[in-house]
Amino acid sequence: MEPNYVIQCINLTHYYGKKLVYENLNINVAEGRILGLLGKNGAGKSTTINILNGFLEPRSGQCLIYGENTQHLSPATKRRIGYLIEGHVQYAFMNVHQIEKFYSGFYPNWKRDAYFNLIDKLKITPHQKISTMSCGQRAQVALGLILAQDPDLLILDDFSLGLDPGYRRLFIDYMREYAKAEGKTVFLTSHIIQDMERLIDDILIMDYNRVLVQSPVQDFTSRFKEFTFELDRDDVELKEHPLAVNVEHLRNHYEFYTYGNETEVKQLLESQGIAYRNFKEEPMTLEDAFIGLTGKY
Amino acid sequence: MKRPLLHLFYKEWIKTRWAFLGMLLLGIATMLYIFTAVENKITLQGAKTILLRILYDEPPVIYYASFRYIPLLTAIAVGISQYVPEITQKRIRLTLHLPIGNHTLIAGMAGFGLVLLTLGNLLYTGLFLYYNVRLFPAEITRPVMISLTPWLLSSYIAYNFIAMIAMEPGKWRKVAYSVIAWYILQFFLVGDRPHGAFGASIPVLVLMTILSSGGVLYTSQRFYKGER
Repeated sequence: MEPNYVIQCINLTHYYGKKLVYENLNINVAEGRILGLLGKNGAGKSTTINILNGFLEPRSGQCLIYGENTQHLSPATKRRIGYLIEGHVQYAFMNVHQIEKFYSGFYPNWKRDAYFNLIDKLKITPHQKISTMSCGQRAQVALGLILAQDPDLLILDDFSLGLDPGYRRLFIDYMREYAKAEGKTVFLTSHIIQDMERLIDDILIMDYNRVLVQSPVQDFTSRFKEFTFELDRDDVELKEHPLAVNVEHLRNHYEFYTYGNETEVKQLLESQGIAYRNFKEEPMTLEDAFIGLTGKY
Repeated sequence: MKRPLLHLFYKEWIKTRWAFLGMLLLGIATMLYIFTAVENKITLQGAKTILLRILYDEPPVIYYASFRYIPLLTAIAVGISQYVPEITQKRIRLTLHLPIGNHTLIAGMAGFGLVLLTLGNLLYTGLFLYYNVRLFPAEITRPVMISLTPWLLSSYIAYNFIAMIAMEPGKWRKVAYSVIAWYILQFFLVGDRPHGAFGASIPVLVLMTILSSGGVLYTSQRFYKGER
């Protein structure tokens, strides 16, 4: 049975002027899943977020959220979407009470207690403006507002920006528990990939103009492997072989990234008459895998 | 009125209240200054002399000249306090994400600003009429009010252009709108002409003001499409 997709982007193509961002991109996010979008700077993450929020009209193709084109979302559908802007941007000219009062008028199921349960943990004065708060405190205000809104879909744009490790961990643990307990769907981006590892179910890795991976994280990390070995020479060219996803080397120490297994890589080296030593498979974090897949440059 | 719109107005009020109230105080102070100065001159030179100078001097004595930029300054204060916080860190994305139709949102924000300006203009006009009718014959009030009308209208056109410039995503278009606004405002802020001059052109100025309102929706639509 086909899963119930909350987000569907179909043949999305976008250019800035003549510069291609991506062509015929397809993204699906199933209900109740947490999908992390990864990519280097300029790979098209912000473009995708802007199209999803309706702030950018793609050159062709379309994104649907709950079956509605994101360029023309109805108020009822917007009400179901919680949106966290990069850097936890909020109306900084308000204080925590004013901002709660403001947002409560737009959402019939507003959960005031969920907001104040978080806000009460902050060491702030009742009329302190958001602009005078630390980044971590602002993040908690933004998170509290989303929890009070109680959306079905959360779009979190670079949620870890500016947060120290403690707040990042707090945010991630809170979000994961909330999303899973309440059956929420989450679409998020972050520059800090180790954060993603604790949070997401599915991964979408974009490189310039294309999608490199779209799969459950477990599938990706179990299939994608790094083998290291040393050769007698430092000028062996292995990148062009179909088995190699990426090959990096520092002098004669080689890192070979592949979807193949140990036997296949060894066969490749032996078939080309390349003598190797210290061959081993390296354990990889998601960050290692991301760098292995997209390259260090 | 629908509850979401009331909450939208609450946000607009938090942003604009001090700028607006500050400008109202300045406007009231200017009115008091204008008519205190007129009263002093009447006391020193006599009402007849002052009246003749106002009616027949060349160039005319524009005793209310200090008021010329007050509606414009009110519009600039309201417009900047309302739209700068929205474009800072692109907070307008938060506003456009609110569950109201986009046109209703933008019209609600712009409508709020225009209502504030109208309240300000009504207060200025009321104060002006109160003092003017007390000090001068009724016949002088009508031409003077015609002279004041373009100044009052300048507030609306300036506000609409500030909103347009704030929403516009393209920087060259922002510059172009600023230059156009500057030239258009020259039509509205003429100061040293006889009382009641340009009465015939007021319908044209009103039409320009109404047309400029459409520009706000146009640039917000461009922002929404992500035009560059």
